[in-house]
Amino acid sequence: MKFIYLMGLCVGGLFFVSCEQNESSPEGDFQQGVFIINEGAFGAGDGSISFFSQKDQTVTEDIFGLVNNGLALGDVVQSMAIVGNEAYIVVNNDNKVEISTVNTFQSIHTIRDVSLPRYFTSTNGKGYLTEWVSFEDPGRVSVIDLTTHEVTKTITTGFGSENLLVVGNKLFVSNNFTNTVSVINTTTDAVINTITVASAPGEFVVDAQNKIWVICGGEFQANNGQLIQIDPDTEEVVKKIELLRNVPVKVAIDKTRNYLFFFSGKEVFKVATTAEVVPSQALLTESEAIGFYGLGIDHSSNVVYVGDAKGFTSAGVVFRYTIDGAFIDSFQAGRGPNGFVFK
Amino acid sequence: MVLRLVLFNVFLLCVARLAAQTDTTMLAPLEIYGTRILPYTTGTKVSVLSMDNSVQSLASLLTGEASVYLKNYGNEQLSTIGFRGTTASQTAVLWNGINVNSPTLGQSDFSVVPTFLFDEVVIQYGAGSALVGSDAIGGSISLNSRPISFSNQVRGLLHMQVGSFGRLSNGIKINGGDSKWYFETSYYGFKIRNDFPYRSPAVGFERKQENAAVESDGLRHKIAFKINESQQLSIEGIYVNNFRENQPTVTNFGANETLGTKQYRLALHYDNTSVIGVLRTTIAAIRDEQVYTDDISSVISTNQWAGILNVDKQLTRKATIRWGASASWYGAIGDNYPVNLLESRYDLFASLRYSLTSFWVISTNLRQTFYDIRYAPFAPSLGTEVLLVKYKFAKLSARSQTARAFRIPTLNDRYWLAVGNLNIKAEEAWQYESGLQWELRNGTMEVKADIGYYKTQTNNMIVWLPGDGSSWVPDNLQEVSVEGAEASVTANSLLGTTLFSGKLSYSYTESINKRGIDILTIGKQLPYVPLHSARATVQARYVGWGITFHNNYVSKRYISLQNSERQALDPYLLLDAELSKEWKVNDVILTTRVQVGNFFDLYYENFAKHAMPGRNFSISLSLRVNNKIE
Repeated sequence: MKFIYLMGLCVGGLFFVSCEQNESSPEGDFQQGVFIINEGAFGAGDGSISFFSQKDQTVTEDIFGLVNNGLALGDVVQSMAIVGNEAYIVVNNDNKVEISTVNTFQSIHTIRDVSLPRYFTSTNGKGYLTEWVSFEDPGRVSVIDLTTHEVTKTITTGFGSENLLVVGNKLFVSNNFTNTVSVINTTTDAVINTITVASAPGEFVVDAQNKIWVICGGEFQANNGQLIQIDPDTEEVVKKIELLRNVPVKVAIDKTRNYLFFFSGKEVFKVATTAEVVPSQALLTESEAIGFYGLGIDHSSNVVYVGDAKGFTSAGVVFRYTIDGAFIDSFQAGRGPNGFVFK
Repeated sequence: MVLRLVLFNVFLLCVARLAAQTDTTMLAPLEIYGTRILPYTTGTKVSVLSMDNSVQSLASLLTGEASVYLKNYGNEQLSTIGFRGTTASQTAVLWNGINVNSPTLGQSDFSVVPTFLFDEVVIQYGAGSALVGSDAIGGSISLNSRPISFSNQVRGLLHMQVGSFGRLSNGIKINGGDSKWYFETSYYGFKIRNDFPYRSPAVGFERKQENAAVESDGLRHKIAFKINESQQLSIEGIYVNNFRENQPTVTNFGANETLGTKQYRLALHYDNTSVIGVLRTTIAAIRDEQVYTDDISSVISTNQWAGILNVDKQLTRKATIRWGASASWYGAIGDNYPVNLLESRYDLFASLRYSLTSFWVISTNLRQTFYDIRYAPFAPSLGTEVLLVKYKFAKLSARSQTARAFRIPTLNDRYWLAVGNLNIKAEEAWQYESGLQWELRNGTMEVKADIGYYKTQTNNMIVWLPGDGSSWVPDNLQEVSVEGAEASVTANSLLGTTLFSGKLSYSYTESINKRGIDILTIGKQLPYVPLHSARATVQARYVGWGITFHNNYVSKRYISLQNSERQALDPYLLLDAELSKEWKVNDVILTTRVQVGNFFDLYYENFAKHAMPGRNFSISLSLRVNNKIE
């Protein structure tokens, strides 16, 4: 059972063929495609990364386990970031970061001395990892040496340090349990400013005007999520779009960087960066879905990827749409697909 | 289906033989005491386990049952039940006839129920709601006290055990009294460090388990007073304290979650025998406190008050009846419940057991439960047992039951702030089952073989799924159909002065999702329901020496509803062994036991990515004193 990773499934008119380990090319099987982050069910330790090849229309489940003789990524695979030839896979509830080669997914190293890690990014030859630390301490950003993979410095930000975005020599960090975004100077690795946004900030994107957008989930059951535009130079809030609902804090931007995408329930919304209010109609509603959980847009094809976690009762499904919301196809992923990395 | 047809044919064939039977005395005299369910379980499979005075959890005790799957999150960690292919909330757990499943979750953690504080565990297989009320879809588990005997004597027990990974337990019991009074006190303490080594394929190197230590202690007091020959009063109180570090996944580093639970149980009984019958009235208070800590603590407590009136009466030589009513009030205190939450439930019930002939008995049970201002599904059951053939040393009997069972939505389903739904329906199930039992008994040998088939259709199953916004909501979404077969053989044989005994049991369980969640999950086996499960025990006893081997086989289990083969848990076959020696000196019995668990040192999991310990050892000592006061 462990030796047969069978992908021959047929969903939405696509036919996937099997992909076996012994057919691996020396350069690696994962050179071009989409990495799907499957968080796994909390406490079940079944988080994984699936790989979707647009060219071959194939999906390979749990590529880390496949390549590394059944090793598991662990409990709550939160995110993945690519730095050069390495993939940094952040495993939240296991308090670790797994590092593997990105093209072959061979395991290289495990960073263990981190606490409830969330997201990773890099700039200037340094890695930055957000950590919640605990539910009673303020979150932090750990600076990681990309060669030794060791933590060289920790920077305390706000409660629930979540997503990261580098613009120039500034690192923006959303503090998800608060209503603030911390700004870190990546030369000195010190917090230089704290911007007040709205409750529960999460992911960032950069628009065509080089302004930052951060999505805020809103207060508990208050239906007041917001998209907030920040000028990275002045570090001030430029504009707010009320979303009129609580939202998961995932946001994506299209290839032109003029349209923001977010979701709620089974609906995906598209809003122009120039808009003042959110459209009353969703771009799309997926009747086959139980509840969307992850969102990404492939900028090479402008295709929208949405993960449906199926309430964590079974394997997740990835739905693909054109940028105008027309259904393309869907395929099965691992449990709880929460995000996508396009390579 | 084939099996069912065969069974019916056997029934038909045997009816002819029955006519010729006259002199059978199949019906054993009825024992009526407490609110024991046994007289009215006609047509179902029941096993009664007497406690052997060791300090262990109900979870460990039930691993011997082939039709029960315990999803343990590690050694002595959270253990939820799957009985006959049902979910964790579809088994009723009763104490003194009161459902003690958590009113908020609708299920029990079997790792925090200490068998040391009970005398007997009665396991009824299958739909039992007509007899015991809500939750008994897969089965029911009753934690009982033994009937009180008022006589001049004092009994005592002392138990001690040490074992691998810092296992240490001790227990003491004293009971006794005179012709008017009876008292009983039990206390136990238990702890385990649980730092066992494991070698999981998901990790790739040997690790030591972290954050899995458990400590527990508990107390039971019981006092009874015989007012006169027909009246008796008793009070029983239980307190159990359990604190554990929650064992993390095998891949985890630096876990620090803990869970503390406290259980308080108090029951007052008044028994009266009169022309009306044997009347038992019970009033009880049940309180559970739970402190979950993951850096910060969250506290939930629940309260339950119950009153039960139960009357048993032998109407004629052929008929006995039971009738009664109960009322319960449930409350929950926590951040996610409305202030002053109080839900009431009322039950009306009646049972009849009737011997049509000397070889044919039927029972019917009827129950209507009301919760809040709503009707639970009316639950009737009809069961029958027929003695088909009887020879001098052997007999063959058949049983059958058709029953409806239900599960009332939990306080979480109904009241969880902002998403709880008062209109959510109760789960309801219909079950049919039948079986054959063959018994052989002569001077030196006793053999029992039992085979059974059942089918359960459960509708309106409640599942929590993401709603339109970002919150999760409960809904009556799922339908599940379970079809299963159970077979067991037990044999005892005396060869010279050596007693050999053996038990083999096997369960086949197909638990299929018929509706709900997602199109890809229709027709799939429920997660954590093994298709095949078997137990084998062989034992030899010779002048106080005893040697026992237990085997436990569990087939592959899927961990999610789309039945991913890649993630399925591997089947396992475990072997445990035990060597014991008993010494008797007058009124004193000393028993010592050496046990080896997981003899083959196998790595296995009962819940995904949660390690179970490899080979482990323990040694225990029990001292029993039985002193009759002249």
